[in-house]
Amino acid sequence: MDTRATLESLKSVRGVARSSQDGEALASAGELDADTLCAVAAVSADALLQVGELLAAGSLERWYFVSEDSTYYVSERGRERLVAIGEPVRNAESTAKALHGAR
Amino acid sequence: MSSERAAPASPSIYPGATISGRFRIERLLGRGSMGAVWRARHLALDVDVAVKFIDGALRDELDHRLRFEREAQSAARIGSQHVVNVLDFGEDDGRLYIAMEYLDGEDLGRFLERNGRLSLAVTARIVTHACRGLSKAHALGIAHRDVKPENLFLCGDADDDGFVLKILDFGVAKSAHLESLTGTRAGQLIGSPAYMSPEQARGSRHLDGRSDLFSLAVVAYHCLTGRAPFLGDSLPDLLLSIIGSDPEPVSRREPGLPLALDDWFERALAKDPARRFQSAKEAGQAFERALGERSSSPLDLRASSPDYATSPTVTAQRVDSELDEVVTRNSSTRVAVARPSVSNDTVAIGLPSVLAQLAELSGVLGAALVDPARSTIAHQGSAELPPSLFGELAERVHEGLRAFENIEAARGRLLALYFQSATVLLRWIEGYALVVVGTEQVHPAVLSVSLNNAAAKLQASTEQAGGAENAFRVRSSEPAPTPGAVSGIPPAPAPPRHQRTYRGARFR
Repeated sequence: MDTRATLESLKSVRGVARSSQDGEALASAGELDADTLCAVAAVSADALLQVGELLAAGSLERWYFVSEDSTYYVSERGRERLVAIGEPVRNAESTAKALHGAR
Repeated sequence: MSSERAAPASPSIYPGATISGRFRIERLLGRGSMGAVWRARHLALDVDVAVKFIDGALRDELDHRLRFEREAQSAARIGSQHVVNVLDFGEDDGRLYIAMEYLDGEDLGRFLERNGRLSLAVTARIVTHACRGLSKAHALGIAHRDVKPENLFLCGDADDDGFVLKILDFGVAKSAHLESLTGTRAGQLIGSPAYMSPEQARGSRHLDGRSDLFSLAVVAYHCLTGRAPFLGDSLPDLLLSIIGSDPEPVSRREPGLPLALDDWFERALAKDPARRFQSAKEAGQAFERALGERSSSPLDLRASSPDYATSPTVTAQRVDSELDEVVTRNSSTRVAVARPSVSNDTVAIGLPSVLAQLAELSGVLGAALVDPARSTIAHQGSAELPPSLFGELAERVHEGLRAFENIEAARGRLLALYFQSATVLLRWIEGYALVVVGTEQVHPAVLSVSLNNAAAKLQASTEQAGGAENAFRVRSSEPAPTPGAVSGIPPAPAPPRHQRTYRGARFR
């Protein structure tokens, strides 16, 4: 996974990082605090996984979160996860999908 | 030694073949989505007919067989000079067919291809004739659901304005009676995307004649300007444009057109069916008025004009206005909906209707509003998702996002979670959470736009009521909730978490 290439392929994203499941930043590109973001995403994912358990919905595949200042995108990939940060947008779906499909 | 040859999957249809002893096939006229149409001779009457055969591969699929039968029955019941006349329907040696009157002319799609855009007079004739045909269909509770240029046939010479328009292909038409037997599957988009109504684009299962009138307005816009009002580089883009964007006024595209037409299109292309023309008759007459003079052939819409707001085909669209109840067609459950009010002891203005609209989207299992204490204020959807589940979801999500930043201080946040078999979207409104749970088949972009729109509506209602606390306060005299229905009662105290399970929820 080339984080630089992924970053360049996504409009409205300003930083991309590869993270271990434990939240350790493995690689990053662009403007983001990769260590913090990867750690926070790992903590958040634990709680969000419980949502899937409540629904018996299977494993978490991807999620995104739009705040006033930013949009956070997370693509779960088995032992790793891909985390990105971008501009706040009304419809983040296309970027989230593109990140999840990035190879 | 003998050899066996496998029988063909479907007997071939060829010039000279005789069908049911009544029709002799002459030549292929064209192919549609479900089969081919041949010109044939009716042997007893000695007249030309058009015979439509369902494709062999589709013949044995119950869904397609029902749609084919439905086309025949729908068109035969309507009996309008502006709807193609069905003469016969049957099966011959395994071949399902519909025999229709043979039409001489060309469809509007080809006519538009040749001409680019059309004159006001020709467009007016198209709208007028189509409204007459649709008015009769709608009076019988039949919505066409695929009004587009290719399904509007101009009989005679369209170039000298002397044509008569006939509506073709009721293959995807739906009647209130048949819907219960052959309802469209969740997630299945039927219709031609560029001409779809917003409710079709959202995958709504409940369409009525107002959806046809929207599609007809798209056709009229195309005729007058040479291009459709809603465009997109991809199907999701196009659907989002239909759902969320307003088209450029026709008078700006074509400065010679009457300004009054802008008003007609504004109403005809309204996103909310309740804001559109409520009958084909009304739409046709308003179009004539917009032209500034009545045509020499005034609209003759003697068929009773259905009032879509009370028609049996109408369902969830109604609840967005001042109505106090709605019938959910798929479950036949009557759902109590509070009248809009700004009094402090009333459920949020529009909250039940907002939830009903979200829950009605194709692929959605349930929608709810959860208060800051994680109690479910109101919910709608499958009984497999109990009210307390939504509060639990909101709690888990809140825990998860707390790691990101102080989410208490922020407003208007959206979270989308995609699992193997489910989709969960949350949107915050002043600490309250609007929660939607769907299958993996739900259209994500459409769902997130719908959720944002719903949140905007609720946000506006909280401002009217002076804050979420007033707007979402629950009236203590609310009736007990019905399973699968809107409820205004906070859930009973939840049992300890380890005793709770929602494994019964199914997503596939």
